Amino acid sequence: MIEINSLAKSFATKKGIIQAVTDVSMTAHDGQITGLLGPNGAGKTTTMRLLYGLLRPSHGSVRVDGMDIQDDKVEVRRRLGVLPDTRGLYPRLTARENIAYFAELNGLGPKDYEPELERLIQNLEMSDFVDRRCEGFSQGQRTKTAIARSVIHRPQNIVLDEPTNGLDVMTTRGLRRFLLNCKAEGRCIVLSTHIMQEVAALCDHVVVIAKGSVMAKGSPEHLKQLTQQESLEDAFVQLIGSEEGLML
Amino acid sequence: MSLILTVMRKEWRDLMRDRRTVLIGLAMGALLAPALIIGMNAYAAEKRTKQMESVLKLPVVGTELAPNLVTWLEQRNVEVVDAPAEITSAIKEQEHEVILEITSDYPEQWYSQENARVNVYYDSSRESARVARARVDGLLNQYSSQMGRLRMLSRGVDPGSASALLIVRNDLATEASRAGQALLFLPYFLILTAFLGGAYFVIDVTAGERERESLESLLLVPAPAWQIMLGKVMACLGFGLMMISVALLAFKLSFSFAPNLIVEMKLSWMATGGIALSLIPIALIGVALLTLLAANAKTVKEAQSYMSVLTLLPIIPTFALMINPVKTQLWMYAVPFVSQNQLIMAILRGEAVGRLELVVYVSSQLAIATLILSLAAWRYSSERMALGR
Repeated sequence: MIEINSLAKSFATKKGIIQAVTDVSMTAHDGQITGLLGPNGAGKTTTMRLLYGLLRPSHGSVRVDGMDIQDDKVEVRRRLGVLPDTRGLYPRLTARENIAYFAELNGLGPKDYEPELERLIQNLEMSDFVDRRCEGFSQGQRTKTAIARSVIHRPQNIVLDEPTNGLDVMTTRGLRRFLLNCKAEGRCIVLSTHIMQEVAALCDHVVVIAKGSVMAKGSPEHLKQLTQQESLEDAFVQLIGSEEGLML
Repeated sequence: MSLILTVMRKEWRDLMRDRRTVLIGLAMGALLAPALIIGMNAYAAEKRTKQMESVLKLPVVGTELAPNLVTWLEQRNVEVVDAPAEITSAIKEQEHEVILEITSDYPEQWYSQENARVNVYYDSSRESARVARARVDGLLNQYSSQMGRLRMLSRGVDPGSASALLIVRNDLATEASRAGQALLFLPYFLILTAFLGGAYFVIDVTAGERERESLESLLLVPAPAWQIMLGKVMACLGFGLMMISVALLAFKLSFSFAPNLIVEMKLSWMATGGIALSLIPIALIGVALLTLLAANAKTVKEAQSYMSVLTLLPIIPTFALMINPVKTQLWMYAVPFVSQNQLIMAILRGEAVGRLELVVYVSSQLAIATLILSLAAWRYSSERMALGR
């Protein structure tokens, strides 16, 4: 479970202070997929980075399974699997070696991670490229490898920043199946997206963000009722006050 | 500890798969340079013997004014040739290296037994003129003192009374210390190899990893950032040590097999090992400094732009000591580059280094490396590290 409490983050730049996140509070429960929806530049990636502790909040707190992330980063990270916005791989290592490296960085020996690695290769359909070097991987192969490396230590909580960005239909469907599987196992999943269909297909709980603040939250059905709109799309447009930066 | 080893193993494997870069690095840094230096040395030795023994072509202005001197010179391997009309421009245009002018007052001064004046023209900034000038100087001095003695004898004075001192020179340079002098370039080369040998690798695992966008994931693993950094530093240090070993081995072998060296130069296995050990601290300082710079740089390009300045750093003490040679003092063993320079020279000259000096050396170099590494670790743990801002 991930709890975020009135989170705020500002960056000092040459042109003055930029307030990337003003006020975000939300709770992501176990056995649910929570979607962070917002247009480009709404503060999603910053919120995500605060959530997995890469950035230190100017204000507010993040608790993972009851522990404050700033108090015990190492222990919290054991319980977190993160697919960040940047998902570069080591081009000279094979996909399998990339994943195994992160398993070892999590303190696992080959005996501990190999069954999980085989399971992930099956679930993410990676068997035809897993022993190839990552140089020249397609976007889909890269994302699959990056996801596998972020969950190889079987974390209870999984955080993904725009996971289906740039993927084709088949890969996207496979990825959705994988996330629904994780949900069925009772894990807590948070994903950020600006794609409407993603929310409709996956999310139990949606948090709408615009200009660094939460505009609304609830189930997709609840949001439709709230705005008295027929479609999710119209509901979102009304909630964020503009059509800019959203994708259908 | 196991995390540091995990990072180290992975970086090492990653590097070794970049076989071309590794081979080029080893070949360029470690094999080409000794070959070049040995080759140049052999060439210089050959040139020097040729210049000393060959016939010296010397333009003389006013040969008719001092026929005896001209004949005397000609008997000593000098070919007197016609002088150019313009002395200054002939030197400037490098038509001649040295020109001798016998002044018009020469005959008169000579016969009245005064100091007869001759002018020697040369360009001291021209390295190639040095040998010719030294030969002309030596010959003129010899002629001057010979004739002076004859003048004294003719007046019935003992020529020996003109010299108040009898100077006997006793050169105590050992074979090893003379070789050390000839090898003045060697410390610089070795220190540079140790200091920056793994530079490409250090920049690649820090700024390069961020540019390839895998650093964020790496910094999200459940471990303190300094351990990840230390793993990378250890891997780079390992590569640096490999470069040092290859370079030293190449030097040792080229000294054993190269013909025609100015001085007998030998590196014993003991000396080779001693030099290798004394280079480890500067390799660590180099890796630490580059890690700090690369962690602060926004891009690989920016990190690489520091390289030209860093290349110059090890030259400074070598030059300073060449221009102003001072006696070895204890503080020198605490200063990077200077200390390595002193240590390697001592080993090459076959001198013993005191225990106190070694303690000062090891502790000061480790302290400097630790300080730089702490700064780099602090940077690694900051939130700006992954973002590159």
